[in-house]
Amino acid sequence: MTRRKALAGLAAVLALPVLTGCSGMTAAADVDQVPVQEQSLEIWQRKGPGSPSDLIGQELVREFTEETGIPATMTSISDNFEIKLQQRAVQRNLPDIVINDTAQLGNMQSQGFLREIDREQIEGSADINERAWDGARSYYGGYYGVPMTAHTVALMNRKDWRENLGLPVPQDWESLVDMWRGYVGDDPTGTGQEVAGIAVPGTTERGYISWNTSTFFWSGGGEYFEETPEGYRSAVADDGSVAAATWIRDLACTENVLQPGASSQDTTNAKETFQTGGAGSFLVAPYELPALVDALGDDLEALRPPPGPAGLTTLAEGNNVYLMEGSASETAQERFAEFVISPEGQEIGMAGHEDGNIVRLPVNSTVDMGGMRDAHEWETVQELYDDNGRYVPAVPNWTPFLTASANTLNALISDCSLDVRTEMEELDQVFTAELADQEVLAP
Amino acid sequence: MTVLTRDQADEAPAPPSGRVPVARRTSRLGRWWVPWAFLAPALVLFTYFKFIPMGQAFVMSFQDVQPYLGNSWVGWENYRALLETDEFLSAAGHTAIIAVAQTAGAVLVGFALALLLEGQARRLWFVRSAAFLPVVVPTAVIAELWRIIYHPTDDGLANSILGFFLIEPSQWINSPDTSLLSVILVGIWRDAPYDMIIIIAGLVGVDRSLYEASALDGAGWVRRIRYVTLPALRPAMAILLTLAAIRAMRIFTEVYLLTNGGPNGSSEVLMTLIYRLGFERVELGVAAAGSVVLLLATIVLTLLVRSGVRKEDS
Repeated sequence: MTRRKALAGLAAVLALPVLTGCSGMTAAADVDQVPVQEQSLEIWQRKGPGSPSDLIGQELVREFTEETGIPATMTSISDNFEIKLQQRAVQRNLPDIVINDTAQLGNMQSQGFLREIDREQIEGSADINERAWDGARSYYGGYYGVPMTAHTVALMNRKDWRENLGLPVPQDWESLVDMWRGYVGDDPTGTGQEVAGIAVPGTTERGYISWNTSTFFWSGGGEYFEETPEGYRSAVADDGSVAAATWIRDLACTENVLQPGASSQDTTNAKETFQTGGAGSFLVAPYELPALVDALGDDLEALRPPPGPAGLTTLAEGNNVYLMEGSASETAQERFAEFVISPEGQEIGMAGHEDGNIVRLPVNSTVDMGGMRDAHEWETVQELYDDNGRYVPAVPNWTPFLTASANTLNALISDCSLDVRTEMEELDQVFTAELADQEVLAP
Repeated sequence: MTVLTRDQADEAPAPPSGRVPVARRTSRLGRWWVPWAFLAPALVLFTYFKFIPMGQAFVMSFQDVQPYLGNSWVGWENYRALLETDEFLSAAGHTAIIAVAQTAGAVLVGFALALLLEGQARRLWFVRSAAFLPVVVPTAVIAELWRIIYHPTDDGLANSILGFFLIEPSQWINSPDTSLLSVILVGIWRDAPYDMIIIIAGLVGVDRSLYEASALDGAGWVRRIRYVTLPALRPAMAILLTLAAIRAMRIFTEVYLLTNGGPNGSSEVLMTLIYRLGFERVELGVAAAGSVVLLLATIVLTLLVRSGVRKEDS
């Protein structure tokens, strides 16, 4: 073997993966289906591995297999869920089912991950309430997921602190801020410990601050977009939006009722602050209820957030069962979605009084929640969802708007010298550019 | 570890004929492909896990990347999108500030620590190990620790220390004015002991008699450091500065966990921006373009440092 030949051989071995790697860059094609009786499912949900929600998810899948005979595995992933999904997309091997937030629909659909759903083909779809379907519809009108659970936020509050200060349940924003000021200044614990009014996850990570304060933003008269027949127009620099953003900013800058370090805290930090008595209020959805009841017991109350200048609108969210593209088990995918929305599937997911519910408010209108849970907090949340809940705008992809608005709000609460209108006008430009990018900008 | 230097090797007795016979050369040095065989495992691993991904990132930087729908070529569009945003320029600026300040701070503190802790005594071994601890603690743990230290209330640990000197409490990582400084302090705290170890290793090689001679000539400790220690440390410093600069360019975990680039983008660095572009906004092509720019910057910086050192040597 000459030296040249050997080096050429080595180079060939090393070059091989480059060529095979590149061949994976072509577009996806239709996938041959395996016979129905041999179909199986790989299911992902965005939950902590080993968490109570993981266990409830495993139970749901076990019951599904028992009832239908279709083998299925459930994997819970909480960290970097979207990244891991990307990795599978690169391998052209998406999981068959993904259970994820309604707000992720546009993000996944625009990348071609999702199968379009024909509502009529899904057994039991007529029992799902119409508002839940809103969270599964894409901007272009089609449905790209089957609703599994819905919820909205309630104001978790320290009842004992409020009563110690002799304050009534706040009925408007003025009395709400009064209550928070009381927590900060009037020693509600009676121990002299310094506490905050409300815990807010103020980081830009995953757009948390915008997500968490959107209820206040809407209730304060803010709007992300104005919907016209020809498309969307950014509304974040309108007077109502500037006023709402100013109110949120003032919680940090003039009222000083946010927890220290709010601008770098995520939901876990903020929840801990509330749970361990560092703050008197926390605006959160009922998936945290069992954990909060465990920690605070009777000292916890779930209040309707008091209406702001524009009434009360609370952020509605939920999870959809997404049927992923490229699956060789499409029939099994549909069977699973049907099982999840059936009364039986919904009840397993609701988990009664246990921690780890993956169905918060049932989407199936024939399921009676009162029969499963007697905590009246759940009823408050159900009423809020029915009367005041609102999903994020159905733009093709919400994520860039969420991130951009989070950057602006984070800037406002961490640098009080900024002018709110200027910042919102800058955000307006970003929104307008992004609407144009997504080709839905009103002319 | 003992290594034969070129001079020593030259002193080895040469064969009588002056030329090594072919048979002997083969038995001593082996066949030409033997070194390649030893290199092969590393080469294969590097190819698969480093060079190919790097090549693909380069290709991706010219594409609109849609892993599932299929990529399409967009030419320089990704670079244009990246370079025309303010956030890229400000992230590059922050990265440069961190690179300079953190490298300088860590080398200075490391040098001071090394001078204090150089020597053979047993207690020094213990103190050195203690000082080295920040290097072996996982960055995620360091970040959580410093979050606690930086707690922005009056009774936070760092603020208590400031209060001791009658300085107003700071917001640390929660204010756009101090977030970058806070990140740099953590970096110095973590990197200084690492620099210390390398400098101590360099100090061992300084000829003791030079100290004595300069002391006899009346040099104080400042002059001894200036004229004896520092020149002797030049090779160690060259390695230190190269490594530190490269490390600082790639700074990610501390920033991501401490501030996530905030507040108001005041501590955004290139890596956190690339991460955000790629995995939060799913603009993988633009993120790849950012990575390529970062790679080029790293290569240029490394070459500059190397050539700077070489010039001084000659």
